[in-house]
This record gives sequence, structure tokens and C-alpha cells, in this order.
Amino acid sequence: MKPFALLLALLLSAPAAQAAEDANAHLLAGARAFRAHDYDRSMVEFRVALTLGAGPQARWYLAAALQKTGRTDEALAEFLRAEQEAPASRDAVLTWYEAVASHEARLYARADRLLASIQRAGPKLQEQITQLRTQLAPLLSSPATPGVLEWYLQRGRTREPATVAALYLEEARGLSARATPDAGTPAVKGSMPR
Amino acid sequence: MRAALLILASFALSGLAGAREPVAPQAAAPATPVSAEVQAQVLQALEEEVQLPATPPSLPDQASDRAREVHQTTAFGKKGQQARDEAANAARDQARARGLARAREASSPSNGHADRGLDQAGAAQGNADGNRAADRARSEEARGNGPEELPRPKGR
Repeated sequence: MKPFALLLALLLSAPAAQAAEDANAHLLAGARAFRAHDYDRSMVEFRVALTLGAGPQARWYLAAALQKTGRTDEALAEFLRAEQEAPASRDAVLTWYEAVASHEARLYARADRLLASIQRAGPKLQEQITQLRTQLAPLLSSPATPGVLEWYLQRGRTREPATVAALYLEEARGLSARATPDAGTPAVKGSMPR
Repeated sequence: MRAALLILASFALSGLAGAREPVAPQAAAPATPVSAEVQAQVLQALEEEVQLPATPPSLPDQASDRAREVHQTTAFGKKGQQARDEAANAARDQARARGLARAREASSPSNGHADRGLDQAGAAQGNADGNRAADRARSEEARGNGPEELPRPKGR
């Protein structure tokens, strides 16, 4: 009876093994496309790999490809999901891409926090981190006007999904601490947008 | 016999599993960890493409965003095109009117050449440059029996 059970287990595991092999092939295809600057293709390959069960760490790659294609809000949403599903897979390069996505969304305080958290970066990456943080430094110490705060609050109210909207509200909260004293400064409440 | 049945059942099960279509990225096949080698290759590719953001950081402003939106929709958008068309039409009409007025000034009731000048000014309406028509009328007057002194167009 034992050999039959073994045979059955082998036969049942064959499709799963095939799916994992396919997922890996798509991940590699995504990496090749990324190198070739074909970020749309890369994004599709990573998405297919996820569909085939590539494991939650593939979500980090998808998020990085989305950032490269300029789909900033989608990239941020995927980064947040990846952090939830596979926090252990975060590494210096992936954190860099999340920081750049935050930068492009004008979530500068968040971008700076992420950059500051990167450890064990290679020399090229470390140089980029230093440059970007140098660019961000004066901005992060300048006072925020009511118009600036309103911009973040507006996005906090309207952006989709709610997880991304919450990032804008978080940024607004940070900015309100250094807002210029003005009667027209909008109030930043601590609640989530929805 | 039991063995044959088991094998048949396993084939049937594997066939069913293989035939399942992925429904949505999130409702996918059970996740299998990415092999370390594949992970390393993907991360290597990502690291090679690390680049500073194209635009330097700048604090946004709700008011300037609104201003930009108005600028884009009014000055360069549909409304802007409409406004430019209207302005061009108005300028053309004014040019025609000026040309006709100058041609009339250049003409006298008894002068045939001047009448031709008026006609030419009318023909020049399509070009929206009545000034040139008035000039032509004046030069014909000067060559023929016209008055010695022609009124000069304003602004020349």
C-alpha cells in the first residue's frame, strides 16, 4: 500500500511542481525585460508569475516594475501589500524602489524614512541614496504653507485605494507639525480617509 | 486492481488540477517560494536599473495645481482653441472693415478708377487685408485722374 500512496503523492505534486517551474520562468522573463527597460513587459511577467503561485516575494518585484512604468499609486499599493504578505523579503533594492515610488507621489517624508532604513546597500545604491537624501533634506526642513497641506489632504480624501490615501494623510500630519502659523492652515485629523 | 484504480484516480485528479484556469492574480495557485537563484537574478536586474528620480523634489501646492489646471483647460484646451478662433475671426472682420473704409475714403463719386479700387478692396476681403487693397486703389488713382492728395491710412 505504501508504494501506491507514494506514487499518488508524486502524481498529485506534478502539476504544482510544473506551476512553480512556470512561475520561475516568468520571474526570469520579468527580470530580463526589466534589464531591457521594457518595464511594461516586466510588469506583466511578474503578474503572471504571481498568478502561477510564485510566492508573495514576487509582489515586491511587481511593485518595482509598476514604479518604473510610472504607475505610482498602484506601485505604492503593491508595496504595502508586499510588506504585509512577505515582510521578510524586503531588502535594500526593493526598499529603494518603494522610496522612489513615494518620492514620485511627493510623499517625501516617507521616502526619506525608507531611504534612512536601508542597510547593507551596494556602492552604487548607497551613492544614489545619499544623493536623494541630500535633495530631500532642505525640503523636509522648510515650513509647509496651507496650500501644501491642502494638497496632501485633498489626496488623502480622494485617492484610491484607501491604503494609499492614508499615506497622504500621514504625510499631511507630518507637515502640519512644521506648518507656517496661519489662520487658514487646514486641520489635519488623525482619522483614516474612509 | 486497487492499484490500477488508484493510478486512474490520481491521473484524473492531476488532470483536473492542470485544467484549472487562473481566475485572478490574487486567487492564484498555492504560493510556492521563489527559488533563491531566481530571487538573486531578479534582484540583480532590479539593482542594475536603480536610478535617481527624474524630477527633483518640490513641495506641491493646491492653489498652483488649480492654476495649472485652469491654464491647461482654458489657454491650451478646448476653450482656449475656441477663444483663439473667435479672436482670429474678429481680427479678420476688422481688417476687412478697415480695408473697405479706406477704399471708400480713396474713392470719389465721379471717379471710375476709385470705384475699381473699391471693388478691389472688396475682392481683397477674403485675404483679410483691406489695407493692401486700399493702397492698390490709391496707386491707380495716382496713375490716372485721381485726386492729387490721397488720404493716408491711419497708423502708417
